[in-house]
Amino acid sequence: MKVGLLTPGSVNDNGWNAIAYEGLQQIHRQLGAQISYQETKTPAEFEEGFQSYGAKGFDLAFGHGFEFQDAALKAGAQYPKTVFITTSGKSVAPNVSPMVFELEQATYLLGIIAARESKSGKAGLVGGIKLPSIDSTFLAFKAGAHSVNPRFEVKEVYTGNFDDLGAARLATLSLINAGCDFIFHQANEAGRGVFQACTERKVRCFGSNKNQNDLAPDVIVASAVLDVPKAFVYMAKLVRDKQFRPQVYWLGMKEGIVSLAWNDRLEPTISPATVEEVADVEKQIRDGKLEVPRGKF
Amino acid sequence: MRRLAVGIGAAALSLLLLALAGAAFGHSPRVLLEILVSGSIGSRFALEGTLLKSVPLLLTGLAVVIAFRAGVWNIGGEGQFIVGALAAYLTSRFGTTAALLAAAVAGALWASIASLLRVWRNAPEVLTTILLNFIAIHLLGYCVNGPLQEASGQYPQSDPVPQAAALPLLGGSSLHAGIVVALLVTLASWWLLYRTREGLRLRATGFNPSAAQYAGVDVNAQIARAMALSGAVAGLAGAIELLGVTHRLFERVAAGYGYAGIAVALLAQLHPIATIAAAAFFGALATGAGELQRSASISSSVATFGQAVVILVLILFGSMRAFAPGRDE
Amino acid sequence: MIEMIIQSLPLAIFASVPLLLAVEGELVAERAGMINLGIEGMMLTAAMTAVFAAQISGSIIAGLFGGIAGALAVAAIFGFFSIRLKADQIVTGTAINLLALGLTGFVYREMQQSAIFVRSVPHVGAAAENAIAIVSWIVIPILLSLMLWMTAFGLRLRACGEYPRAVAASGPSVAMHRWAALVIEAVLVGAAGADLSLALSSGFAENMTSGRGFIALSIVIFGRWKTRGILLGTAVFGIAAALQYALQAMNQSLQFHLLLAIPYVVTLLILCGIAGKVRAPESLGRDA
Repeated sequence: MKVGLLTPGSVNDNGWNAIAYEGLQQIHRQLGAQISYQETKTPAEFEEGFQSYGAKGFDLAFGHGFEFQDAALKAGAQYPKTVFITTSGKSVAPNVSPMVFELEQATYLLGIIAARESKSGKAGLVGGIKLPSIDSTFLAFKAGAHSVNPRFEVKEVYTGNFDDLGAARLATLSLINAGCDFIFHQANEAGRGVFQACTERKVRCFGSNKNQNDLAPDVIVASAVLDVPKAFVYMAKLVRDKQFRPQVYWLGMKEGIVSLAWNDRLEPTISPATVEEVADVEKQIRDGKLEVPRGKF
Repeated sequence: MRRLAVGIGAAALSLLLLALAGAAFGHSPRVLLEILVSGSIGSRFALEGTLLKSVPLLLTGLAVVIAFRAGVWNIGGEGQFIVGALAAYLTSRFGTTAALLAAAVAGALWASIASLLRVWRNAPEVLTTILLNFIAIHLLGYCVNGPLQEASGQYPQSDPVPQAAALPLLGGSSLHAGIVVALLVTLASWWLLYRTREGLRLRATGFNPSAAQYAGVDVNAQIARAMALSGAVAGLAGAIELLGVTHRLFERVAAGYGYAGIAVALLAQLHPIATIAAAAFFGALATGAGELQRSASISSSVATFGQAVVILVLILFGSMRAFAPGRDE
Repeated sequence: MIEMIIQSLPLAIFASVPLLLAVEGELVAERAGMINLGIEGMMLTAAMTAVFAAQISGSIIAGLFGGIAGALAVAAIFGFFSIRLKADQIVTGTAINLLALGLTGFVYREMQQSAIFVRSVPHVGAAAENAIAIVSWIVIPILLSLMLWMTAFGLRLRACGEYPRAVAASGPSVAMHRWAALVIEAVLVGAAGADLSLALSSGFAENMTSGRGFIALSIVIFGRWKTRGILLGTAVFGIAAALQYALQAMNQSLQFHLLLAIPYVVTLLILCGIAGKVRAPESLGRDA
């Protein structure tokens, strides 16, 4: 079996692209597949990458982001024997499907934690580039917070890139100055700057995408975890067993792809009522009784 | 002839250095070079990829050639590329020709901000063009997240340009008609630089501005014209990439082509016709680097590294000293 | 608004330290007649070598020296090509930026599993960061001013930027003075890179300088090659950068993309208008 991956950025970004690369390696380790990846910047490269995988008879090729949809449809039509999966998106063709992660389910819970535990009544969000997937997790965070306290204030700041750790730190400090006492980030690599700011000001914060609790164990209360590796292996198994069906694959808490990971060291500082409430809401989401709002993308 | 030898030597030496850098991290230099070659020209598919990337590189390279020949430092190809793509998108509903023209005008105007500031306030264009790059990038970011975002409002990208405005593909390949436009622009640049009075004045200005002034050339106006022309060609590159390849606007549409144009122009030793070969070389390097990553997991940043090495090797060969921008042989 | 500016001020002061150090370094180089476009790549390289040194030794001070060593290596390349071979400074600088971006990216990716980049870097405390800010904003400017305007060496250095032929004719070597200026610049830019990756941020990231080097070049011109001017320019830029986050946090509907462009627009406006007609060192960017 041969599996390829195209990422829109560096695979050592400690975030979005890193988890995809981990997924690819899991496919190699668990299924013994031959793997290949490429960092791609332009649509010309997206097409070139996908077509190269198709031409070499790859069974499965991932494009890690919404921006790969056009290229996937094009290559999909040319190479019907290869399955093209985009992470997030909406384009479906006989051998093209998106898998959409419902990280919003976890960030909704983070919003609840922030609104219940905040003393100032304000939380801050730090984003890198305003991508729909990022915007959507922020939207769910706000919805979660407002579900328990409609007057809770959530401030949002974008730095415009994922590389500038210093800028992320500065943005976080601005939010803390503005009174925020909970911070959530979606800044990939630059997230380290967010944790640095939170650690120095002793402001509690949340991790994103990966379980980041160990990166700043004194301040990260919980992480919204996206088990991309599991999702990648899941898709690879479907393709290997000829079980793949063209459709939008929704992957969330129910499928075990999205979860909330408490930091064991800090959980005791959270009131038991909040922990219980979060567990309760989590169960409702898992059972499909509560639908978490998400951006329309 | 000597210039040709220098160019080829620099390209070859930089490939060798690349292979050595790979070897330092435990990759076999021979395998590395083999993949680089087969991945860039070894198959029809690879060759198409190389040519596709050479088109924007050729135009941004030409833009730099024209500016440097006039002795003006246009480092702003990236920003001019972006505003060109923006203008082409906005006018695409009026057809391909209108979009290409609008892009050239937009690129020229954007570049002219820098030459205006140079003439008016003595602000060095090296810096103003770089600042204008950053401003163009954020302007594009604003557009694709705001007024120009696709109708469904889902992703930070524009809707595709109308089918009628897209550049036609050439006979069953992924190559588009932009390659023809780029080659025509190359010939036109050569003609302009070497067969017209305007070209003579432009080169004279770059060679020795005070002597040119003395000989009756209005140096400030000449520089402004060269800058506008350079910006127009870079803007055209943006339009062709939009209408031929991406079809949509999004934040990274320029993808460094503007900056890469500097390396292209220098490898071509500021000769318009040689720019074709230089653009093809860097197009091949970028395409080969992609294959290098796919089949040997070697970071594609080797392509950037390659551009740098080519320039430094060229300087080492001594050609750059006699050949500082604008200076003719 | 006033309150927001006051709140942003302390943030601006320490967040612009890497920028300020780079500006100070470039001031010396430009006074000696060199425009170092490669300053961006120099800072990026220093940011990486600082992390290497700090991680291997476990000491921040070693990290500082590591950063300086990295910047000196880049300065050696720049000097070799632009002073020794008399190659064009802007061409050389451009090549150095590409080289640094490609090489640091390559190394970072090849070594991504290595403990050097995985382990968290030694911590710089708040007290140390304040000390760094004081040194960068007060001590170094005073020293630089004294050196440039009160010493014979400074006079000759500046003469290299104005009338290199006159300097050469009267004895001292222009090349030696430019090399000296380049070393001073490398020490300051190396410190800037180390501050960026070890103090302002906690580790290296690809392209983490994000254009600070280019901004530094502009600020030197805005400051009209004077110490007071560059301090003012860095302050304006630093406050604009800090303020735009405060503005974003305050007003959700603001288009942040346009806010992100503010610092660059400000620099551009500064370059062209408010500062008045610019007069550069006479031989800036030219060889002797």
